[in-house]
Amino acid sequence: MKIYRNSKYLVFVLLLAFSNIIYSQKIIKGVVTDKSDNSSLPGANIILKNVNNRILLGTVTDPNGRYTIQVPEENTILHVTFLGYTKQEIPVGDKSVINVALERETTKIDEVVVVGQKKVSDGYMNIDQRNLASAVVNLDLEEVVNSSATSVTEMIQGRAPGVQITANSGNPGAGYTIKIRGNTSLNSSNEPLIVIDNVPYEGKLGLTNVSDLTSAHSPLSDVNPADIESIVVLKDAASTAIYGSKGANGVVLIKTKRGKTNRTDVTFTGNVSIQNAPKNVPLLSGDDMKILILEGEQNRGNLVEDPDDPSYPELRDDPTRQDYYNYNNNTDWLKEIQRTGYTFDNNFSLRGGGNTTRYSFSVGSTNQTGTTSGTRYDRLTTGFNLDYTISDKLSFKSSTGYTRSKTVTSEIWEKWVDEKQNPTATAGMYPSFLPVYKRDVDGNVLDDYYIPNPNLENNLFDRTKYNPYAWTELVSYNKHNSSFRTNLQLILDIFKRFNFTSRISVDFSDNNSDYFIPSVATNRNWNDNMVNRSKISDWNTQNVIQENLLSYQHNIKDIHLITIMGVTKMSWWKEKSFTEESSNSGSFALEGMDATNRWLSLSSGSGEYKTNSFMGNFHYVLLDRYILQGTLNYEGSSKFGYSNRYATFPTLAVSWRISDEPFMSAFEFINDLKFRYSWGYAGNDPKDKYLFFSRYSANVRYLDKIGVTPDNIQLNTLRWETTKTNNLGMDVYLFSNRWSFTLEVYEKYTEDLLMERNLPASTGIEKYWTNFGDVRNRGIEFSTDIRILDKAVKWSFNFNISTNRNQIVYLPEDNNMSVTWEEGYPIKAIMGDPIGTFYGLKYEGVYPTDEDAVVKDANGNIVYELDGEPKEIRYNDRNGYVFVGGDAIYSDLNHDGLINDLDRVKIGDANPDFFGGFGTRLAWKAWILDCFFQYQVGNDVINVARKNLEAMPGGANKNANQATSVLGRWRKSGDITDIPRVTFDENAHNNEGSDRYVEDGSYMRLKTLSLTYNLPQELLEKFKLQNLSVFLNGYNLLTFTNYKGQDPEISIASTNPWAVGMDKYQTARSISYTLGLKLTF
Amino acid sequence: MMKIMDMKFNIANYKYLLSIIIMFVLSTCESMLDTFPEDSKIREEYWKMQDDVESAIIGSYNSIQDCVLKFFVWGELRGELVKVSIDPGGLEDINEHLINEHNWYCRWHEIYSAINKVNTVLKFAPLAQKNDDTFSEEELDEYIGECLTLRALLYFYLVRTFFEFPYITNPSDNDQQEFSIPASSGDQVLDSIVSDLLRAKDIVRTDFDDLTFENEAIKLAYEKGRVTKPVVWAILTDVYLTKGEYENAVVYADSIIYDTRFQLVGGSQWMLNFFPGNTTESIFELQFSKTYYDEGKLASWFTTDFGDDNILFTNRRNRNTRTYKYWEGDDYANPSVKDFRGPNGTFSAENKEIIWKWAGKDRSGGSTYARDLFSNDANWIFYRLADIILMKAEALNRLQQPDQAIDLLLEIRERAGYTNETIETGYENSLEELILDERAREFAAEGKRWFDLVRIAKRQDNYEIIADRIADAIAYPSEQGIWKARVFKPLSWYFPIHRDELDLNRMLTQNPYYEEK
Repeated sequence: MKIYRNSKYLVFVLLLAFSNIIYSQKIIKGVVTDKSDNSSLPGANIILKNVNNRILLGTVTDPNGRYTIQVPEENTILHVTFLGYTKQEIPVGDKSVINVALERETTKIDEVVVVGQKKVSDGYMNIDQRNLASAVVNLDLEEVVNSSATSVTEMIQGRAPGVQITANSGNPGAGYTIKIRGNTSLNSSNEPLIVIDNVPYEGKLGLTNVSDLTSAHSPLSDVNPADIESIVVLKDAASTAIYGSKGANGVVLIKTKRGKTNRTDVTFTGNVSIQNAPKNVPLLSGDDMKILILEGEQNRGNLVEDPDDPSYPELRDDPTRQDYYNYNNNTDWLKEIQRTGYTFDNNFSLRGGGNTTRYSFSVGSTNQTGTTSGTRYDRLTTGFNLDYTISDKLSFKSSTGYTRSKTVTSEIWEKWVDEKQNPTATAGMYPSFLPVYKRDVDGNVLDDYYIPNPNLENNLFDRTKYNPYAWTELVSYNKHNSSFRTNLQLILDIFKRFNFTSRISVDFSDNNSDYFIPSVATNRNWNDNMVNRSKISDWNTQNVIQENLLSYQHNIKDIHLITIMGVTKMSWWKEKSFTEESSNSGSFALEGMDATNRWLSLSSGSGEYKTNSFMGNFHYVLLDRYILQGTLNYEGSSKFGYSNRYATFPTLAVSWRISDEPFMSAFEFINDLKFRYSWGYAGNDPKDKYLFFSRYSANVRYLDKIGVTPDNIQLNTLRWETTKTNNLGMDVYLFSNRWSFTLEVYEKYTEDLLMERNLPASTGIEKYWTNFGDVRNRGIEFSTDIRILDKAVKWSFNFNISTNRNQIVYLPEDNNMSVTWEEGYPIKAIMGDPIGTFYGLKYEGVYPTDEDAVVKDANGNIVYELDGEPKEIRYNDRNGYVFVGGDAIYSDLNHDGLINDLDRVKIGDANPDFFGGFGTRLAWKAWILDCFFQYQVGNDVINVARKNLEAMPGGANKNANQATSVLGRWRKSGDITDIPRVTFDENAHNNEGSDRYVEDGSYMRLKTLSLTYNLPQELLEKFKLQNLSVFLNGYNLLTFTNYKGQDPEISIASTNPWAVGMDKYQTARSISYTLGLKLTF
Repeated sequence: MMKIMDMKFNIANYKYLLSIIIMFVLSTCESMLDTFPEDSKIREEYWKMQDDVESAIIGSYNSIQDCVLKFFVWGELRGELVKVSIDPGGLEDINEHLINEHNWYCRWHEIYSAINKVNTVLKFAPLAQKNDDTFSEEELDEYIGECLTLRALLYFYLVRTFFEFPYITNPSDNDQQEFSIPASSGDQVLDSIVSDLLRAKDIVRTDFDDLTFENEAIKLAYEKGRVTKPVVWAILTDVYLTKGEYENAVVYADSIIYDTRFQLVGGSQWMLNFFPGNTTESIFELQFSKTYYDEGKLASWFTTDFGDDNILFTNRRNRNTRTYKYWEGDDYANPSVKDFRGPNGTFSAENKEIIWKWAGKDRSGGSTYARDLFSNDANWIFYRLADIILMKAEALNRLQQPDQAIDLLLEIRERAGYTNETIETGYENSLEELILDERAREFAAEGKRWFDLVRIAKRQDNYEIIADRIADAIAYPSEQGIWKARVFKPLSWYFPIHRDELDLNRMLTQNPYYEEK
């Protein structure tokens, strides 16, 4: 019995060995020819692949176009490629001679229109897009490939439905805000996860003391757009599940280009752009501004008209004064700080490889000067990708990138002065009667900047504002970022259908920034802490992720297609930071920590955080039309306490390709019609680390000792915030794939919101993190592509539109009124409202006379006091400011005669009704014309810039310059206007947060218009080139909007759910023109 | 399958396989999800030794340092002596007795934050003592006494400022405890304060002689800046006087007065109490220091010398008012009598608005940069001997011993430069007003005025004690009636609870005076 059994095995093994010998002896040969003229093609690539698409062997044809190749196993496929010819794949089967006639690939030279069915990788499983049951967008990069975009975000802005992208400012190197399908979280991050070549970027996890860095740098700017192979956006829980909690807000996957077998490409691209700022809001001239100030002082009763000793003598146009020429100018400060910006962008890449090794090397440099004086951005990117086939069982892949950038601005957004130092905002408000440079008694312009000493002339100026041009020239805020990322993977074929991959991703990034405000820029008294003030900070992070993937793939007679994968993943994230602030160094030539005379702050921080997950995925396709996929993720985060550390998140998706059903064969025009439904949970952990523990830190002092205080309470109940997503989708391809569209309908329901809840102050603790409340997002996304003409003239059109409705479904009663005040507007999270709702007074114009400023009841009748006088309308309480003629009318909604919080009602919602983009492309012979529009409709924006430029009261904006719109202000009793009087009085309330400054932020913008010329094939051959194209681009050429500010594209920070759209006079996006060249040989 | 036969390949393959396995094993070592903060210690690791308790108490003092603005605003601004010069919001309303429940200065979070820290020490210090063999029971008691005293002092501020408020003795420690605590009345809390202080007086340190210090200055700072027995006595004097237990007040006042460590400084050196502070007259003052990087803000409210743009508080010197006389000194008009507390004492003779006591450094009064440059290190004085002497006078007056009370009053006046003065024995209430006037001259801008006014108005059940002074100092004659009306009701003498606090703690109810409004 035993022998029998053994011999059976022996025979089996012998048979196998024998068959192996037979196969190894098999040789095929043939000739490769050009189909059109039957000429042989020397140097064509011959590659032998097995059914799993793995390369077994390769060779090239000899000078006569002949080849010979050994066939090592069964079921192989011969791939024949030659540049400029259509690739052919021929199953070897029993054949021993295979002659191949290649067809000239004419379309390639003009234009490749990528149609429909793309292969999509979510970073783990490679699945045909046609077989996906989840909501995934694979961006068509062909259309943006020639854009002058210096960052990835610029490339994808407006092109992916459901993805909202806005730049934080028009300054070069400014960060971007990306939001996928609305806000799900009230206090945790809403930022999507960005994955570059399998290296996930954690975003900027809660580090409190480097505020400026968090807003400045985006991981997406570390990638050179020229290196990008593909961008995929994962939107629903079923697709993001594989990324666990980090992908809960959506995932943006970026893959950089890799080398290709037996082909060497050298590509050079170079662009030159010029940028100009859009039209400024017109401001008062120096002469008009002087009138305004004097009128304001008169209105508040401060003006003395004594001819011998008038108040504000500087503004009285008195040529006998020594300083006459310093106070009688008409300076347009915005013009002074604006200039034409330039960008030089050069990229070089070398890609190629042989049968076992493929490589891609790229280097790029970007040098940009912004439209605001003093702004700059310089970036160097390098990338190196390597693929190495060790054996037919084992291969190695790596992707490495190093990026260094330097951003320079003069904007210092910090809390230590009343007003943040943003030169653009300052230029808008700085007195226009002052000169840029000092002028002597005869009016000659001197070399020094004119910077009045704010301690001496505090009646005339806002003391926290400085000569904005001098500021941009003298102050620079330098932000340096260097980041290094690498991903190494080993892929092992264990058995035929089993595949094991182990990979490590490492991301190091170092951000440091510094500024120095020399005393000459502020001219303040020497003991003031603004004098020679400096700040240095450094923040570095390390992120290491280790993953092991075991996958099983089985295709059973093309009926069942099964993919199963198990993943273990561990991530470790660490940060360190350091910040130093000092002032009053001995001289403005003495910069840095050593020179300081006064320490203002010194702090350091560090943090660490780990996650761990175990995941199972499966994907099953039956008969190519019934698809079922699912994930089970068991994930733990070190941010939670022991009892709530791990949670399980399941997802499930089904799809039905109805077009493949026999009964659909009648509808021939339908190439593909698929319905999808997905369901799933995703978890979100808090942005802060170590929340669970009650921590004691030693950071306070008393006497000569360091004291220790408890920072927080122990959070035993804190648990995962979970979002349940339901997604219904439809993919349709019609008329020979010439018309395709995708429709998605979704609902995301977030429970157990992570939120910092206020505690009664009597507990001695301000806030603690806890879970409460529900938020819901519902939306529809639609995108379509149409190839209208497809002959000699090619004309295509694409369009996408998304809408998202956000609602706070549940909040406990005592937190219904969570309020954050910003710029005079309360921003509240209230049950039933969307996140991003803001409140304010209702503005109804201006009281023409004092007699009009009286209380009226609900029927419009005047309310009288006991003494028979009409009751005066007051601000805040019964002892508050009395409104008079020329003051703003605010609706007294409860008719109590007081304008106060009770009259502050909902006046805006920062969420757009819908947004998206559309474009069209026209190609004829060597020419391609491309244009793309981006739009957003129905979002409310608080125009803070206008609030300041039409303020005309005192306070922080004392004697600030104003927009020309204030020329229509109320001047005398009886004037009927909608601009109040000028007062410069901090007690007047004409500039409260009201709907006066809330504007519709809708816009449509011609984002890009580009014309490309591709050198025709004949000329390319003559010059031995593969490709040469020249293009001319226009960026932001046209904007259609009713918005009154300079630029309606206003970002809303996704890291802060309380943020609403506020135009704080960020540098506007420039109008730019680019000339570029792309050369491949 | 075929290739398995190939030995060469196998070895190579296992090598890689092995390296993958090693990678896997290495990474699983990292898989434990425990991460501990590097910048701080978790509670489980804290409370292991005596130093932990000491450091936590230092942390509590630091927290009390954050309360100084509230101490000043609550104790001073409703009185008639100090005027708000620049109002960042809410201060003028307090100055003018138009407080509402949205006023930021009604928030008590700094006080409770300090109380919470003290409560934390009280709860966990015994644990540290168990863990540390060198940490004796007596040493633990000293710390307990210190914490009880600090908590009593903090609650005493709340008693005098709010009508009802939560009395909390447990630390906030985890998210499963009850955070909405109902209010106790001020009188109940006073009883708890007394019992805490009586316990503390027997167990706290007497002095710091057993410790070695880097230098004499820092030793002095410890003696004046941390709780010792005299501090407990001083608070007890004040609390008993407030409660109307005059005999007890005298007992503890005497404990200090007869302690030879405490002496009034000479009249011409009166400014030393404020710059540099820690004089022999001082009993307890919250220390601030430039040397040890622990600066405060107190002086910066009264001068622009620290780079701030504005002076927050100035004196109120409307001519022909009683307050004017306080500031100038009673007999300032008469050059032969010099009140050392007047010009270049309490206020600057050069710029009369400036409260020189805090802005200045000595009696010169004329320098632009008064305190040492950038050293914003004025101490907050809780109690000094002059205070105790006048408190004793107040108590003796109520104990029907006016002669002895007058002697004490004269002691303070003589120190200020008045000579050969006599005071006719007056009626109990009028002598009390004389003491009250003297306290205005002596303690102007030290955060005591409003509490003094309320204590005496309550005792005499006479709101006019407050109303007359305020109306006289602030209002035009025609408006005095309106001003008086603002302090007509005793409940108006207390602050409202901030609206946010009422919203967050539904167990609280508003002071009825503000409900009516």
